[in-house]
Amino acid sequence: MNEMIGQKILLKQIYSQIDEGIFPRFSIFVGQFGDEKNKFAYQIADYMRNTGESVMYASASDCKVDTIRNIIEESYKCTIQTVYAINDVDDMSLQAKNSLLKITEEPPNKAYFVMTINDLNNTLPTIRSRASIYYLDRYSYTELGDYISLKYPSNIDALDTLFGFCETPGDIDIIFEYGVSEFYSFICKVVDNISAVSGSNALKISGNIQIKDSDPDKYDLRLFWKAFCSECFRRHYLKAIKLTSQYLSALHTKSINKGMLFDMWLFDIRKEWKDGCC
Amino acid sequence: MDVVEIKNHIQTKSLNSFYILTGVEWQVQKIYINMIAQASGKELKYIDSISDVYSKLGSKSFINKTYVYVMRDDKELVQNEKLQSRLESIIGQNILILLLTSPDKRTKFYKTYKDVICDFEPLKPAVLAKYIDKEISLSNENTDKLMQICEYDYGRCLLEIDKIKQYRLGYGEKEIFDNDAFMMLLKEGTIYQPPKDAIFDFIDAVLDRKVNLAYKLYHECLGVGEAVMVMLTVLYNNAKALLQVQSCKSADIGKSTGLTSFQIFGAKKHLNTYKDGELVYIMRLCQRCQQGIVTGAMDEDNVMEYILCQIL
Repeated sequence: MNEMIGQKILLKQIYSQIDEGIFPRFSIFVGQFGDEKNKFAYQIADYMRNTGESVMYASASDCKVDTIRNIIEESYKCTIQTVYAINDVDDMSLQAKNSLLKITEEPPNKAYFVMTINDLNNTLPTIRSRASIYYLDRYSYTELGDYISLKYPSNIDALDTLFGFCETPGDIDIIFEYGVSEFYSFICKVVDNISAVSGSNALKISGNIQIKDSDPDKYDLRLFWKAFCSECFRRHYLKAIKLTSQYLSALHTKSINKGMLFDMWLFDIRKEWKDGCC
Repeated sequence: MDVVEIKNHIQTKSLNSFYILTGVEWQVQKIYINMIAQASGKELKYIDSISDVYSKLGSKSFINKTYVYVMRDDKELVQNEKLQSRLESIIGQNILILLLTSPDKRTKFYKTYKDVICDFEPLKPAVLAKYIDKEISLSNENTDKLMQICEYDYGRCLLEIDKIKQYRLGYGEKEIFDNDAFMMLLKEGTIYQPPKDAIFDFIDAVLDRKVNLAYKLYHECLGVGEAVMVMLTVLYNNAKALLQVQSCKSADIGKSTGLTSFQIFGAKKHLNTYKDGELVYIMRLCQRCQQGIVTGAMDEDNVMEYILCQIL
């Protein structure tokens, strides 16, 4: 499914650059987790094809240094216009990033490189300075609603719940995987009981949260906190929202220990609740 | 070629002109080199490279003295194929011994001289015990202990044995026996004991508030190259488990906390050494330090000492 939800203004901008022949050889698309930035490269190749050009599309299988080097070598040999997609480069190694520098200095005539990233700070300043950077727009409720009605037509009544904390189509997909009502009832249970239970019992909540990537059956921490904030907003617990937002922004720190961060949030939120500030 | 063959050459005095010795038992290699020199009746000379003596090897003279030349990791000899092809002709009556620290088995040199290379593998414990017995009279138990401490390295055993001998000399040889000298030096720490994997003992010492032991084991952990992040995480997890067990009012601790019986058993050993508030402080400190390290705000090298100062 390569059709994109939303991003109309950005796509319009890119199409007009392609028409004028000024679309850059090396571009970076910056977005959030779960948005559709990885589809841009395909859209660009598709549009170029529709203008009558012979265009190929190629996507890097991973961000390892050998893959990047192979792509670079291939790009210098290509005889027709090719759009190369290098997706989700947040965790790309320093070696791989350095090997990309060559292509940014002297891009081959027949290649376009489209890189996608969640946080621009996760790439080298030298790469950033040589690329054209595009920021994805936020999804409107209408666009998210369209996505749900397209992909999950039998769950339209979940819209109100989801709009509180889902910002991207990826977030929606994850919540539907958990089960919307199961996830929401877990959030309500936490909000109702977080200060009522004993300390040792409260620390047990982290057993339901995805601390490592190898815990697939648990709830994503970022979505948990966003949903928690949404429910607290509904109940007017404003200090809890402020505290949780601080921890949400700490999640952006690369290599931060999520388990420790969650426990600290737990201590702080229980303290706020007990002080009667929520 | 194996060690037994070299021994035969020495005993029969029919020595080759070129030997290549590899392996970790440098002391045993040294013994054999000395024996080769003795058997051949030539003087032993240690050189850096064959180029140092190349001109002497090739020259003809009435008074030319022959030597046993020993060199280690001579790149020129290993890489120069022309030199290798002329080696037999230029060595003459001399004996050349090349010591290779880490031979590359893929190279042409290794394949060419495969039959000449002798690998001095680590000595088996029974053989090492016999070598130790020749040097010093220790009981079987102490011999085993010495071998263990020296990680079955003959060279290190000889160094520690030398300490024992010197100690006895200083004390008066008739006043003290080898076994007693060994035990005394072990107790004083004069005999070097390599650091062991001590991370869990270290964390136990911290949670028991045993300050001296904690610092001693911390240095042992550093000695084995334990990562600071690992120490931090283990301390955090153990403090968290202890907090959960200590603050749990329920009879079924496992059900209430979600901890395994092993974790509960481990936590129960340290109950009430720290108050609940102090354990929360330890956890906050560990989290702050972990975040500080990944953001670059804190230097990883100093973090553990900072934490120990704060909590012990």
